Amino acid sequence: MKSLVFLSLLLAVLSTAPPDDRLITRNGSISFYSKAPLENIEANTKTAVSVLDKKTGQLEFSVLIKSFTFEKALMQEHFNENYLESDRFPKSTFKGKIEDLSKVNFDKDGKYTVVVTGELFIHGETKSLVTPATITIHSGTATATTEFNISLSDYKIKIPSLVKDKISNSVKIVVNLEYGNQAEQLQIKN
Amino acid sequence: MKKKRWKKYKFFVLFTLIILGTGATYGYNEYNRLTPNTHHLKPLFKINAEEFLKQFEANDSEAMTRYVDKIISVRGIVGYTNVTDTTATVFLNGPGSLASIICEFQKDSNKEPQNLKKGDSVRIKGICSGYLMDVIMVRCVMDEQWLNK
Repeated sequence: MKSLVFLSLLLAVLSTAPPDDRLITRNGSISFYSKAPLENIEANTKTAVSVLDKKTGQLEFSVLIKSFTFEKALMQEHFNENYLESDRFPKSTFKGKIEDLSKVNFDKDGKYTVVVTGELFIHGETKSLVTPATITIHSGTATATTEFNISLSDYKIKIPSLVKDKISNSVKIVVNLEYGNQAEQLQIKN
Repeated sequence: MKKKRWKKYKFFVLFTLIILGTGATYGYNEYNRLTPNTHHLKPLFKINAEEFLKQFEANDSEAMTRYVDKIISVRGIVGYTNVTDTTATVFLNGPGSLASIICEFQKDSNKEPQNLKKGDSVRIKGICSGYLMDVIMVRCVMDEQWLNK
């Protein structure tokens, strides 16, 4: 029911902008990497939901923590149970905006470097985020990409003392959101 | 004297070595255990897309408790596919619902849905990871045993 409310709110937000102004993806890619002496940690998901408003530059994305997949089973178990506590905090979200939206011409193919600011919510903690991002327009399709580092301690993600020296506190997050317009997204329905 | 002492402790030393060896092997194997191939996993639930979505839309916390982390085989109509060299995602539609079931395929099965077309009836097996705007399934494979049944 809560998700239905979330969906309704999202649709309500979307409905305030003309249909052509909102870009949406439900198939966004988010990966993270952590380089560490013990072992590199890497996981990704292709199921992030994101909305970008072309007129206001408002950008949001949301992802389920349990949708991140790992190669090693034990790593995935530790990630969900001990680090991100995904039963308590099932999703992570970002709400922000493109600060210099005037640089982007959504009607012209090209790569536009912008600055995105907003609030990143992970593990029950919300922190401000400022990151450079690239908006790529190719044949009418917009793709937003960015990479940034977060510190696990900022989000109160505890590393057990036994492996504290062997796991990096810094994690690189890579976001790749390829948008269609909302009408296209809804066309995939029956 | 030394021989006598060795004899006395031989069993204990060998027993300790066996325990340590077994523990180390178990630890090594456990550490390197890969996430299982979904093809080899038996689904706990077999359900159609419409019913699956209805349950999440009616009461998502109840549906999450029932389905999250479980292996589910879902029958549905393909609404959209996105297959790349390394990834594959299939949207299964639920008639009459705004939401879909988004199935992200496991890495080595990313070619399995490449010939699917919109409107195909399929069964996909995967692990339910929850509900955002859609129900999300990960590590999916084509459930060939149930294809088109």
